[in-house]
Amino acid sequence: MTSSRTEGCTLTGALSVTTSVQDAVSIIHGPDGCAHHNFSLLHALHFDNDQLVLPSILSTSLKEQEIIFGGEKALEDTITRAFEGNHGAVFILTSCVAAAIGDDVRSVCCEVHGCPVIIVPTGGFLGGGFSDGVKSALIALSSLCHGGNQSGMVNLVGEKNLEYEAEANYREVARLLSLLGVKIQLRFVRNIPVSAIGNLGCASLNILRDESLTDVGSALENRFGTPFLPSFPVGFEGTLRFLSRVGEELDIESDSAIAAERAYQKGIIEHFSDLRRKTVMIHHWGQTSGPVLTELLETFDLELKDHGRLLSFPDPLPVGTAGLFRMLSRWQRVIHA
Amino acid sequence: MRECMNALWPCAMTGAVTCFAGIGGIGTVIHGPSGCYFYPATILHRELHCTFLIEEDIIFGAEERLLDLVRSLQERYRAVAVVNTCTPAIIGEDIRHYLPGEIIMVDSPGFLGNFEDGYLAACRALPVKPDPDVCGVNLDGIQLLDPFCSGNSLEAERILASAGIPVAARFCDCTFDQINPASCSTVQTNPDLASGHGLARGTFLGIDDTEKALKCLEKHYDDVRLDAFERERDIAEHAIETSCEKFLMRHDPPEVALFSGFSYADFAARMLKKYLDASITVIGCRNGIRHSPFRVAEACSLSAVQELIAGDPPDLLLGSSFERMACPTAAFIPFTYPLRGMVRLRARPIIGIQGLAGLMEDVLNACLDHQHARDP
Repeated sequence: MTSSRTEGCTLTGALSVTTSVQDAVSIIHGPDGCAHHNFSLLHALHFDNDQLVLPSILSTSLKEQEIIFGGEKALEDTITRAFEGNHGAVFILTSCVAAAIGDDVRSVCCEVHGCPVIIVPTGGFLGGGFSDGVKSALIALSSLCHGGNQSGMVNLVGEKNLEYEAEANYREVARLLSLLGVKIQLRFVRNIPVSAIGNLGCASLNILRDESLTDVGSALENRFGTPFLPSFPVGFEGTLRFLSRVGEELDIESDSAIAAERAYQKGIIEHFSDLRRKTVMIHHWGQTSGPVLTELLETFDLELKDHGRLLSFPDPLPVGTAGLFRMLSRWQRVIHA
Repeated sequence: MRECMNALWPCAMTGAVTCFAGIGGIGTVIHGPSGCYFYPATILHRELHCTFLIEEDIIFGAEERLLDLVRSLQERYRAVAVVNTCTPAIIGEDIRHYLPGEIIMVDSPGFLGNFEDGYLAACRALPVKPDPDVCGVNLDGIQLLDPFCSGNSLEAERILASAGIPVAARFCDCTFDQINPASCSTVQTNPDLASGHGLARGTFLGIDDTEKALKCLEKHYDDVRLDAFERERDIAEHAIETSCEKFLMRHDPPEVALFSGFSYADFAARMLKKYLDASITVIGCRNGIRHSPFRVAEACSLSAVQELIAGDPPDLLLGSSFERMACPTAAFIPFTYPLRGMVRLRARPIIGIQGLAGLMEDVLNACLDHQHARDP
């Protein structure tokens, strides 16, 4: 398994998914410290995103005694406690501590009976990094769906729940889809009840948040036969291509939607005409800026120089036309400052 | 049942890192994965280092990786401290054996205890040299995660300066040169975090205890002057008593629940009882419970906090943003880590004269604002 050394823990990635199921509880099979780190992080990010609901995270509170004698009894007790809460599902996430001591989580879960118990095989850093945790959680949670008939609607898969712009990105994708008359069936997984996951297999198309989730898209395609688009739209041309591809996949005419969006984009480019032919320096956070950045440099005829005004190019990339609008607003503020 | 719903307090590893990160000149290494590194790195806002372990390092060994990092840091720092995390501790990697002798090493995996356990273990490992020739006294209990950290440091320095005593080392928010050598005398700001370095000369938590500590220092230092402190104390106590008396003319004494480390919460409860005759519904304790005239219960999980609040609902709450969310109907005063969703820029003490005055000011204003919001 390859994993980035610096991308964070699988637990955090998996919890970013599992804690977004509103009526479920996530159990961290590990020490309280792991639970606190993640709970505190989610608490802070929820404040940033105006979500004033605390996630439900139970810890098996592994201590030295369990390290020596095993933590399976602690896990069994904690699952029993979780059942008392009348949750729609219980998600079990394993820490590196549980993985290192070799607890047989699956056998413990086979012996408990209550609401659905889903094991998310994280294993802390022994299971990879943050993005591996996200993928593991999405695939594990998909087991709560047992198929269905195609509805003509789409699922959004793997929205970045810790992202500051998550809701704005959702609104932009929903706006673009509405140009085609397409509705969103399920946000898999963002602020949904357990019961909604039963509809996962009914969509006619899955739209992945980004290309890192291709494994998840393939797994869902194999399971439910649902095709997928690899990412939310990025860039002016990319947004138009997105409309075209959704139309193709759903067998919907997309020319009028593309024409309307192109006209909207033209207005935006004119709105930011003050950016034209400016000398700038671009600071970009990620590795994936290539084609979108090139498109923007060409569209506004920007000249890259070391002494140019410093503009920030974010990672993840701005989603859709609205995402570009907000980024260009920030660029214009810097140019005007 | 030992399981815990929504753990509210950091682990021993975070405590140990907090200690070392506060000493400028020590390069702090977290020997573990990025998941263990990011939490202290984001909350402490100090430069930290990490071996960023992955699975292969556990299988094939992380010795070279750690040694390379330590060697590179030895060129930049006066000292290097290594904090071990859970998995390397479980697999029994003998870090101490292969690290150079001068490296500070703390085996403080998260499963071994809470924040205080790790913090105090790291304090004991600091290479402190008490020297009778060092002028001044050390401050103890100054830790970076404490919302009163910088305020306490400034208040203690101010009070000591008014008495003619300089500050020597601050455990733990100072430079390596200030702990080595340190003074032989120490004054406590948070009795939960006694580092053990220097002879304890009392605490500045509370005005009476501050006076006792100054009188103790008077016996050991020449030319200590208490007149400025006594004057300021009289003025502050009179102002507090007058304000509380006025509040009680129109309002009932508040019913208060406090959540924090034991010493701060017990102190605040005693002051609320003394000046406002408050009913203390509970002290929810994040660390070791000790004797108190009030009801004290462990409060390290959100479920425990919710049960304590539901059992006897307060109209005033001192705690963290977790408690604030658990009981949004009560007036709230930020009192312990973490404090999310609010802006806090200035230094606030809880010790000394300004600490008590600030506490009572916050209490009265929170109660009055809450009253106005309820009955506009």
